[in-house]
Amino acid sequence: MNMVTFVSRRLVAMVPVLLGVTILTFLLSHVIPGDPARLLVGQKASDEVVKRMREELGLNDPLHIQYWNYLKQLLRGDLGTSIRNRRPVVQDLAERFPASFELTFVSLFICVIIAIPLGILTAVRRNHVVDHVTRVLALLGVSTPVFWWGLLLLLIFYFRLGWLPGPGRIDLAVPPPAGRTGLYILDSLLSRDWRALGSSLRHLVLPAFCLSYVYLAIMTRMIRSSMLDVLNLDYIRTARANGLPERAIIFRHALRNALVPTVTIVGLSFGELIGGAILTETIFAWPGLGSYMVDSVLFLDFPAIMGCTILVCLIYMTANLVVDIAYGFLDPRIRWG
Amino acid sequence: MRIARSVLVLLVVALLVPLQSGRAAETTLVILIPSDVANLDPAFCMDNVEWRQTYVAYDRLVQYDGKSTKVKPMLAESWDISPDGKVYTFRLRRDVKFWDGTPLDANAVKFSFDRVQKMGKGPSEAFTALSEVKVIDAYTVQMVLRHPFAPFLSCLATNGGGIVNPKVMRQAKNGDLAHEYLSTHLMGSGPYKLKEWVRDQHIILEANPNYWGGKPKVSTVVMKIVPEPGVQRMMLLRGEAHIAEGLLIEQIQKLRGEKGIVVVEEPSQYCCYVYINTQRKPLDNPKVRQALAHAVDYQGIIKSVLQGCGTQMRGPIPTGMWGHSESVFQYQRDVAKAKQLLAEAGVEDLRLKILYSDRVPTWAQEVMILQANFRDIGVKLEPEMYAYATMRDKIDRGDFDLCMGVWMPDYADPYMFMTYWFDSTNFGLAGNRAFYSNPKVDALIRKAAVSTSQPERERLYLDAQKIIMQDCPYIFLYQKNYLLAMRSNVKGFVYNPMLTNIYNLLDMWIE
Repeated sequence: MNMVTFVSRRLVAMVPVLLGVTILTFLLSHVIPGDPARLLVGQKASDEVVKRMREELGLNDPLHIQYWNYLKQLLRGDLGTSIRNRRPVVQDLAERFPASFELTFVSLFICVIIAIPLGILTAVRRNHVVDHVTRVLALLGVSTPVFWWGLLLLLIFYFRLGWLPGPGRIDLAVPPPAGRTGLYILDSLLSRDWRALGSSLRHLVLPAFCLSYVYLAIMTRMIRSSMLDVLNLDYIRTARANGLPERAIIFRHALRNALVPTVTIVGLSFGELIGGAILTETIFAWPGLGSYMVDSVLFLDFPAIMGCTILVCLIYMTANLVVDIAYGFLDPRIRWG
Repeated sequence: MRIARSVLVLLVVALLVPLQSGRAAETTLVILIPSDVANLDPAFCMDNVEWRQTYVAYDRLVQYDGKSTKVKPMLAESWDISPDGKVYTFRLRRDVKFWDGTPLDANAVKFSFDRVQKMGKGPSEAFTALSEVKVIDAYTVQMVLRHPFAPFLSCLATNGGGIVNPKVMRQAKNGDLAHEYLSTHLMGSGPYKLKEWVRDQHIILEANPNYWGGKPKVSTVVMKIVPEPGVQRMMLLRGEAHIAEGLLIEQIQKLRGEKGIVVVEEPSQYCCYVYINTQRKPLDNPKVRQALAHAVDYQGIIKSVLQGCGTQMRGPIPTGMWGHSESVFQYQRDVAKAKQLLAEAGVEDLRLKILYSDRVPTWAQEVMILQANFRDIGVKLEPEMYAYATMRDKIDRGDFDLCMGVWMPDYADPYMFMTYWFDSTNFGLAGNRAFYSNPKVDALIRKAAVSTSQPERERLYLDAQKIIMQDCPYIFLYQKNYLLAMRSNVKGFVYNPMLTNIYNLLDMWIE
């Protein structure tokens, strides 16, 4: 099977998955006891006012009618209007997604460029000092809560030393770069707005490092163990016996195979971080999807909950697809299909 | 490869280039707020955090006088009230214009109140007594009430009483009375306009230099959204913000005496209490309820949870509100008496559940203290924590034994406590969350609600409070002090207990 057929099949297969996710989320969010109409009109509102609000929000219809109406709307590309702020959910998501995407992308980028060399180094220099130090650092990364790291980083680099800015995506005095993507780094590069670029990069350093640390630890350990597995295989021994230089053995022959599990982790982490970086977003006042999702759930803002779930589901599926395609490139024995 | 290298170099250079200071000019006031707001329509929004923005953008007929809960003229220069208390005639100032230059006249007043009532959302609750708004002439407006309603003037000072520019109707869509537009825009005549609102990042207000009440001294107000209290504290201490709204009590206490920081502490009307479901056995027995009220260590809660920044409530009407009386009975911790009351009620091995959520951060601590207090009188208390929306649903259905609650009045009148909390027609979330019914209390508070004589109302409320304290449908825990940490160069801030989270920006300046 060629790649185009493979990708097309996978795209078709996404439809029932998405449908299933919408049904489950719709049911789950609606069976939770609670009335968004009540939350909306304030605690002192009379029953009559609440009733009118429920009517307006269409909450009085039977559940299957509500779902059917939602589905029809969804097929037109309309995710509905947020109950909480009365704005189109698409607009809310479009404003928050770039912030989350930028943070996630940079965090994982930092992760990968540090984890790969460190993983190789610790595998090659097994049980040496560098391996022990990395093990301790990895342990710290996995076992320390991200909010603690976040506050500590801010305390040192922002509050005490003043080297890096405080929370937010960009300085208040700097207007956000003009551009359509909402990705500040890309937009400021495209519009050659160096001030915005500097400010947004400086604002990105701490949250991106904070977020990447946990995954950095996991990835380093993972690359180390798969490298060790691969380095003990027969074909590596054969390569060594044939007199291939060590550098070529490691980078050309061992690393490619050792990367397969790492690619899986990167793909899954991407989906997880896009909507799940709530703690980092809170500490660094980062206007991303995580805090929007949590607020929506707390408010029982059904259209927003649905919108977020669909978006995160799409991202997961896309990340998985990309990972599967990458397998084919990394390991020729793996065939698409 | 060469391109990649160039981009990398560019990024590093951009990172290292020292920026101009992020601190804005000193005529900019930076307020740190813990979360974004949802809606700005004065006929819709019900939360003080939303009023923070809208209250300074719209003018009202009357306004609170400084720290006092009494009202004084604002748009209305003067007014008359008919002898039967049903007709209010207001004479408007003639020099007021909306931001776009449209004169603010009687038609605009009628439009705004009609709009609030037609929309029928939360803010309309304050105007249920209002039957009709009549335009007498361009600058005279008459409000006719269905029945005398003494708190009416105070209701006009609420956020829902803001006068909106009638030209907003050009933005109306599908008969929404321009609700969608006003949800994200401000269209008033007040001292501040909305300059920019970047969701989840900041809201910027800019001064209206032509304001009829004088040009504001602070030209720009930035509300920056910073959810984490620890980060707010750092920003305040570094001088990157003037006011931090989201600090915890412990953090504020530690900031006292810090150079360049002042802490404002004022008595507020924020009340914390426990609803007792009076319809459930054995809580339908007043003796059991009294026993619970006697078991609570009120001073212990205030000392540990509030670090002393509060006072025990004496009756349902808090201090600072007229109608409060020192002669009302106040429950004190008395374990022996509580045990005796339980014995008299014939109740043994009582197990109760208490409902709360993480919406109010102090509830979890308070529930733990109550658990220990009730254990002393042989009552086992089981905490039940739910998401806020679910908690509210359970309250509305009366599906609880005990439940934590907080309340703040919308306008300065004991009606906000007495009618809402005790009238038997207000069961559930509407206010009477103890599902308490006493015909004598009903009669007293209903009479007080329509009386126009304050001394008579005070007497009626006092009588009602005496009965209520014996019936004990709620455990009145405390009235929390309002605490706000700010830079010491911020001057002119006055806290009004009716306007928590709302700043008197027109009178404030930065030194």
